[in-house]
Amino acid sequence: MQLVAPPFGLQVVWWRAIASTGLGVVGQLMFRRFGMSQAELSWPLDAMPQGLGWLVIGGLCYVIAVLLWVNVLQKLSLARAYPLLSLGYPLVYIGAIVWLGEAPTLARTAGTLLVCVGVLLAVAPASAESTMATTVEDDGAQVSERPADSLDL
Amino acid sequence: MIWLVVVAVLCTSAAQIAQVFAARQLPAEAGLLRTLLQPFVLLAYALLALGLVFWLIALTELEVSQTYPLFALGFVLTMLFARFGLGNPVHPRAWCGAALIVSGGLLCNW
Repeated sequence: MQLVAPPFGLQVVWWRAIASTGLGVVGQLMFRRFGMSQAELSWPLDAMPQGLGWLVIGGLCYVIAVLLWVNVLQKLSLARAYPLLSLGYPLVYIGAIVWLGEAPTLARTAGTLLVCVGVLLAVAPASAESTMATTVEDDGAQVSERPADSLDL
Repeated sequence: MIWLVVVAVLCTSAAQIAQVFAARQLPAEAGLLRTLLQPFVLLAYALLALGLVFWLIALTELEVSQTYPLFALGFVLTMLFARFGLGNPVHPRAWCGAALIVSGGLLCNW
């Protein structure tokens, strides 16, 4: 029983999916921030303590994002959740420019957009219904009847 | 340096496959603890941790706007596995997506 109605009428599972995407993006930016803090040091001798916080927070974001995503896939077929998979690429790119000061270039902007669209095309199911029928037996011998273009990742 | 990213991508792809198996084996109402202790979840974390080490070393020198798009190559790897490993047909639209991912990844590393 649900005691509190989720905001904007979105199901809780969708908020988890969005949170997973957002935490994944933040985690990646933290990792690069950590990498930047290590770059000037003579690795790995006096590495670590400096900037370790970025690694810890980034790692936490990353772990929670993965856990949430497993949880989401238990309840939603990828046929419905897949658009979120492609959003991470432009978001990381924007975050890297805004927060980390990386220089935007035409090649990287175009490349990121190509990747974003490419992921959508690669993961999009032929139809939502057919992907719902996905089954794989525990012994792995059974080949699923799902359309092969819906990579259930 | 870029080979570190490639190894990280390989680890992450393997981890994603493990995650899918985890999601399929767990009942929809499995609690947090049960999810955490599922063998495929543990395997996925081990692979992610390994990939993460390579990824973090790469990020000490390379910018994330250059390297992160390469992670989408994982989708291409999975598609190739579905086609040539499992023998499943792959939709032409998905091949187009794979081509876009590869070109995008190359562009970002121009």
